[in-house]
Amino acid sequence: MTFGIEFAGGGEKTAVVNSTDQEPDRKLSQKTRILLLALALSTAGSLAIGLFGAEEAAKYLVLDNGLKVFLLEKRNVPLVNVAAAVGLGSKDETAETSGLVHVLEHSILFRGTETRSGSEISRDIRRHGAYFNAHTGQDLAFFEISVPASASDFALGNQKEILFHLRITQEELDTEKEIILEEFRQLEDDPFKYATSLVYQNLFRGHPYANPLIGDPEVIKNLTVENIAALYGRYFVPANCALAVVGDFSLKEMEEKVRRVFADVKGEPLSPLKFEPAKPPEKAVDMDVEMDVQKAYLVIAAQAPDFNNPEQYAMDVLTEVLGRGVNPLLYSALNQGPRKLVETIMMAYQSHKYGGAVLAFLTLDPKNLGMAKREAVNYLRRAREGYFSPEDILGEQQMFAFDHLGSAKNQIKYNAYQSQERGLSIAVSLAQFMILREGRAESNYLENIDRVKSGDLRKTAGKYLGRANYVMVSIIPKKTK
Amino acid sequence: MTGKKRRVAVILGGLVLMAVLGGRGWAAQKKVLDNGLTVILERDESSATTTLQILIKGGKRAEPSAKRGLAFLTTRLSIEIPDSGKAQELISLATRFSITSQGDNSLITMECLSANLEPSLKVLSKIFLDPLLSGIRIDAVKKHMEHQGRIEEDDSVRLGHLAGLRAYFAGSGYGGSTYGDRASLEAIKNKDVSEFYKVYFVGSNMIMSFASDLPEDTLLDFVGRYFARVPIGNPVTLDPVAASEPGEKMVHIERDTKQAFVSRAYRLPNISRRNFALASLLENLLGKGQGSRLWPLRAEKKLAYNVNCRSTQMQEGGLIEAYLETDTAKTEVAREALRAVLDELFRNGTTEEELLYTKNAAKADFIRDNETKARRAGMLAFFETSGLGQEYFGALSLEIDALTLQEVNSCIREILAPEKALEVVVGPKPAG
Repeated sequence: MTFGIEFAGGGEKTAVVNSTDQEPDRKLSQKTRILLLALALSTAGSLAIGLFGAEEAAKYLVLDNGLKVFLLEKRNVPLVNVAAAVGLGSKDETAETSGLVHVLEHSILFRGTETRSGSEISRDIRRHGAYFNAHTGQDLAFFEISVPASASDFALGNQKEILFHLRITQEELDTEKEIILEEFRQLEDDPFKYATSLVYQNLFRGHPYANPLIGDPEVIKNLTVENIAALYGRYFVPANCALAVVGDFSLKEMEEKVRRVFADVKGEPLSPLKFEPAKPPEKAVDMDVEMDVQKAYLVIAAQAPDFNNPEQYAMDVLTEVLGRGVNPLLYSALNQGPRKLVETIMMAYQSHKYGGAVLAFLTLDPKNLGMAKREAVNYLRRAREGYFSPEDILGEQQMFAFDHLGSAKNQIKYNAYQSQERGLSIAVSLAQFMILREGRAESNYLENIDRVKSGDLRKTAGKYLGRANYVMVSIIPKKTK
Repeated sequence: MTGKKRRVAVILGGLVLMAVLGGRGWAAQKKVLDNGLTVILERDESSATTTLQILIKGGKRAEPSAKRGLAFLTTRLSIEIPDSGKAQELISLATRFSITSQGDNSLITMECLSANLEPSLKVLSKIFLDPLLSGIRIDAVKKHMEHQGRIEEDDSVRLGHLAGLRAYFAGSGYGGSTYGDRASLEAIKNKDVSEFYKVYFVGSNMIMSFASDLPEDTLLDFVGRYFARVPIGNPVTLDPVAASEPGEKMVHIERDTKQAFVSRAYRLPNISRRNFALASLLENLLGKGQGSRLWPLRAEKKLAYNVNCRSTQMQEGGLIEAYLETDTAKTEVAREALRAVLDELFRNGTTEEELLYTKNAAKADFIRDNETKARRAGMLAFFETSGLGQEYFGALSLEIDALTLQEVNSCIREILAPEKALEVVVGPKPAG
């Protein structure tokens, strides 16, 4: 509902690369990524952050069946949020199964179980005032529900049932396939989402991350219940899942409930597939796609550190300095003096288990497109020579230098704090973290950000942006218009 | 009381309004300062951040008809950073500003680390109290607005929404784009901007709404220190919005897209405590997720990935739109299916059971939608300026609970009358 107010901050949404069902606006964003990293879990399971106030309490546990669980009290709002992450994403598909994970995600979310039909689940969702959604990513699939605190039993029971007791008929599957084809058409009408999808296909060419999240329409049309059942039976086992519960509850009571609801779930542990780290593209890509638009929408991308790479902290700060926050450097570089090449810029850094991507999203007048591409790439390549802090400059000039490094750190700190406000986002981040994080988290995310120096930014820029083969996709007006 | 606090000079102070929402206390204070500025303060210690929403009454409705975009333009200029020194300060603080302009008001949002609140307010007040309204700056913002207007038109859902507003509010600023258009922007002269700023950006016409972990006294102290210079001005009285019926009952906007946006839009009555709750319920009943009336158009009829209902509530009327996005080949089927859902609801109304579920969903959605400080601070200011009072934030759930089946069905019959519907389609021209 818009109560006569639309919040301008909403205009800065990251055009992310996750496919989200039902409500396309709620996705994992850059902020979520920051929180995710802020919530550094030690192997002992303690919440080593200090971001949350003293009132919040947290507990990490692993049930006997292998299900990883994280519980976090957040009692300022009377909601309970449950997010489940499953170790299955588009990376687990091939050209012959492209879209299978996405179709399975739809089937689980919208179709029936062994005890309830899809319409009965819909009715129950509404009856309990729940928000219910799912999305498919490159590494993981997520299933989330948010309910008033009084309905937490329903939320846990519902998630158990949809995750571990799916039953779908061919007729239901065929219905869901048609809806997914509508989703595909919607994607093709959305300039930034479509461009981002094409960027991923080119940036990770030869790697499973190139698989389109939404899938291949021709493959989807031919999928059968047997295809779905085989995938479901293999991956939807407790040891391949993580469950995060965040909200207004007592830790002790919630632990008892979770154990009661999920303890009897069975399933053979899965030996997860291992993938090679993504390799940078062998050549640059510059692609134009026509759409019925009046402005140009440009996405420029290069590969970036993966989810467990310590360089992620410098890349987070670099992304902030170059393309986010107040007066970012890339924006200034493209709009010097009277020359104004672009209207808006927003950068994002997306990290995945086997690779990452740094993306710049620009809107501009189509006549400036050629020059904007050249100048943007030139500037990103030269970022390794940049001055980001007054300490980089000697003499009197130091007094007049902007502290972009300090500003970015403040901005990231703000994002990390702000991301604590939304319980469901925290739950999704925690669930993702439990599956993707490898080894011991030595320290807190914000401490790592604080340690980043100007030299680290130049080093990271040199490695990832200096000699990169950039992938650029532009959505441009149709020539006939 | 300190001298500074005395300067703040609270006329109506200390009114603490506790509202119970789902068993949780939601407290906000309201104070009106000597210079007429209304300040709303909500303490939220869940994070060390502060959001400030400055709401300026007027918005699109206050714009002369030939000068659409004036409210946004002036608001944008009121926070335009004038020199590199201030830019440097803001960069180092990492404080964010954003603005928007809607039917009845404009809104400036400032978000920062609470530790940086005071220096941020210091910079903001210097810019805001003495903005540089030069021709060069005005032209630069106009260019940006023209760009944003085109971006708005590149999105079928936003374009369809604008078409609905234009049809029902043709003679008012409610019916125009926030960004105006090329002709209206050209018609705006520098003196129009100065005049708009002088009339509307005054204490008696503004609300500052804080959501912060900092104590209320500290926030009031900052406001007194940096915003006491805001002139009191005169409360602005706006002309009533003339009720109008769309000249055409069907609007088709041609776009060469893969999907067509298909909607049915209806006018909402003036805002009131009851009407706001009713519109929230109706929006939820029609189009919010699984189990809503529109859901079978997706789940059974396979017409769309996205089905939705959206209400826009303004002081003198609003709009409720039920819509979906469908394969262009299914446009006619979707139009008919959408019409059938709405007409069926109009004819038969809802049931006790459905109403109970919808109430649960609407109340929970309101909590979720306002979980963040930015949303809450904005909503508190909006309720206050709309005449509902900021305490309505906590009272909405009680208002929803109090609605009877008869009231809701009566509202459905009043609003969703088929002869009042406006159909909007954004997509390719039909064949033939």
